[in-house]
Amino acid sequence: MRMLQTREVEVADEQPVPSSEYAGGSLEAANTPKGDSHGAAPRIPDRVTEFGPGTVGNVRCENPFMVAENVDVFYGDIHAIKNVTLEIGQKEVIALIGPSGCGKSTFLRCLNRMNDTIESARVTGSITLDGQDIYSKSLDPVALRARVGMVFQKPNPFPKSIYDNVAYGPRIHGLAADRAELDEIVHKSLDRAGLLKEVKDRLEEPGTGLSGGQQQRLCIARTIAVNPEVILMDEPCSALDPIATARIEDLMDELSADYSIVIVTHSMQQAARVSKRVAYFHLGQLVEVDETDQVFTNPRHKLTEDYITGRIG
Amino acid sequence: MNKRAHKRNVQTTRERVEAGLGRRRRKEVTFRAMGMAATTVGVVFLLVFFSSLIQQGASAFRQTFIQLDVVLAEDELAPGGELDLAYADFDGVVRDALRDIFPDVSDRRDRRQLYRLVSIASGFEVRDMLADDPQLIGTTQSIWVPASANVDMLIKGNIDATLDESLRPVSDKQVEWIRTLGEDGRLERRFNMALFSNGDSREPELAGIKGALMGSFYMLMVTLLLAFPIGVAAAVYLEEFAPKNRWADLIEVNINNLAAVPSIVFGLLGLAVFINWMALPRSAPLVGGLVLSLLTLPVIIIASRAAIQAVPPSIREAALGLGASRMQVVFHHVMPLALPGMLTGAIIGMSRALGESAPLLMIGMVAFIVDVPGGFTDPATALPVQIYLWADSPERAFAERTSAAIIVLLGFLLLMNLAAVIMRKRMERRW
Ligand SMILES: Nc1ncnc2c1ncn2[C@@H]1O[C@H](COP(=O)(O)OP(=O)(O)O)[C@@H](O)[C@H]1O
Ligand SMILES: [Mg+2]
Repeated sequence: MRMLQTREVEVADEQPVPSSEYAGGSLEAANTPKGDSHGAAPRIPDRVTEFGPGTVGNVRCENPFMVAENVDVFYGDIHAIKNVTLEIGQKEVIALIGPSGCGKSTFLRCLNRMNDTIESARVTGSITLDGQDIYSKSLDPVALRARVGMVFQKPNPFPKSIYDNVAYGPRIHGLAADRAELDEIVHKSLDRAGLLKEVKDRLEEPGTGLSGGQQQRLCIARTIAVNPEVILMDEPCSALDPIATARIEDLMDELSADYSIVIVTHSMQQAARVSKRVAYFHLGQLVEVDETDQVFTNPRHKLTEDYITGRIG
Repeated sequence: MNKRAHKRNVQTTRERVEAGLGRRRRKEVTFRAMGMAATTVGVVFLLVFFSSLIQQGASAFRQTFIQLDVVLAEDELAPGGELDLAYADFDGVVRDALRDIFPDVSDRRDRRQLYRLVSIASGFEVRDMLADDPQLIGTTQSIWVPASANVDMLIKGNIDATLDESLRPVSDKQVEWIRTLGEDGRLERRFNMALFSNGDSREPELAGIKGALMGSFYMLMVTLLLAFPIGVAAAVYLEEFAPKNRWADLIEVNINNLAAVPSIVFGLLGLAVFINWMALPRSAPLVGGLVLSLLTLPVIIIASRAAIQAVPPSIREAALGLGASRMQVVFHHVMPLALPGMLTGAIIGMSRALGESAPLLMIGMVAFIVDVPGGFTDPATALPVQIYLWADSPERAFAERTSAAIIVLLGFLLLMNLAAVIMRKRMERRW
């Protein structure tokens, strides 16, 4: 709750949205322009007020690329994700929102099998990438992670040079035949991450010497250097200032032309700005999934409404 | 009661804070004073230790030499016309030279006392000179030979010449001769090369630490070559690959226990396993190194694990997220970042190994060994054991050599720990 408010105040610095005492007010303000531009008449949703199994809205999408069916995740005895079914479309940005500890990160980490590294974690159900079961025995997680890249909450560049940071993925996967090709990949990735201009004269300097926002863009460059098909982002802006956040959001917009992006965020504004669809998690359950406009203007589940209006923090 | 509670309530926060401020400040001042006192005590002890050590040991780095004019007569050294370095009477030449300086000494007992002014190894100096240049035969050469330990002690003031003759190891006559030699400019104090170039000896003026140093060196080589790779491999496996379950906990507890086991126990283990069962040679640096490896292994494992744990998990996640295999994560990211810490641990382990003597006593490295060891299986002792042996010797001259050997040992330890500190500093700069 408190976190949500701070974030809104930050965003308010960037945009001429008046910040208000309680989160609900500012949220309405943030959503108004969107609703207006669409001019959609508010439709009467079938309201759900009970918290129970099942997902409201539409978990399916037109052009599914990653499909999670009945996924459950356990950490030892903790049931962190409960029977979640969700489709992620080709070249679509989908935002995962929900209160802290509801399992957003856990679900995200299922998608590139990062949960494998946690000993107590156990995943059941099925997740497919382009029709291929990513949990099948025949699939090496190493190969999967080259196709499903990940950007973390805290910028985590390697304590190596900027060049080596970006070149690391292509190097271990053998994506470049020679140095010239590697140079090209590095430059292109930095360019796409909007960082090339700032660092092109100091590629040999350590990546850890950059500012927080630059570091996060470096991490994005590092991820896209491998040319993945899906990019997972776990609260990529929560450690950044508003200006750096705005840059990353612009970047996500551009990247969505080529990649499917799954982003976890605590900022309603960010979800509203960058995503096409929104999935709301609550206590390990996927409560509601729908088009972003739909969720923010007319949430059909009481819990979703409470969350986006700031009544659940 | 009620009134008091009421009074409390009307006190403002500021009043209450200010009321307690004096007490807080007093506590802080007291604590700081105690801390300073503790530090001072520590520093004073250290200063006393070092100054007494240097006071006792510094003189051992210099040694008194006596100048003799040796007549290398051909008929005496090479009666058959041929010089035989093994059998020629070099000691006789030295004795002749001494008699030449003091021609009045004629009594047999007096002469024997006269001969004892110089080290019994003086003949070897003559031999070495001739071995280098056989052309010198037939000439008279002026050479400096080491004085005997008692003469050296007298010159250094460690033997009091004013004491009664029966209470000191040099006779009145010897004192008189030494005075004469000094007046003739035949006495000189020079750098004590023997201390660094010789092995142990019964004669203090000939005793050196080279044998012990080489023994320690070979042992540490064995220890480094064994304990570092094994320790690092074990740490990497335990941290990065081993499942975290009850077995891992058990291993952890055991390794920590092992680090606290008294070192002599490792010596007993070495005796039982390496010498009795595997029949490796006694007194050999190889066995010493094996025992010290066991001793240092837990230290290295613990330090290496700490270094690995200090690598931020975010680095691992970043690499894994890019599709690096666990091996690649370890070798591309974790190891380079943890290496300074691992090396620090290794150096600290090694410096502990360098200072160990108890386990070496168990495997026979405490013997009196004159030869400088030339390999891993030659009989040897180690620096701390040498110190123990010398400290046990009654001669006054060995006392100063004991201190000198301690100074050398501490010098090495200081260097090693300095290297560890530098290494740690460099690690801190990483992120
Ligand atoms: N490594 C872990 N071990 C045990 N429980 C975990 C672990 N990671 C997360 N959890 C639990 O799983 C639930 C979901 O966590 P998470 O996915 O991190 O939430 P979110 O990202 O939405 O804040 C929480 O209850 C959390 O305590
Ligand atoms: Mg999270």
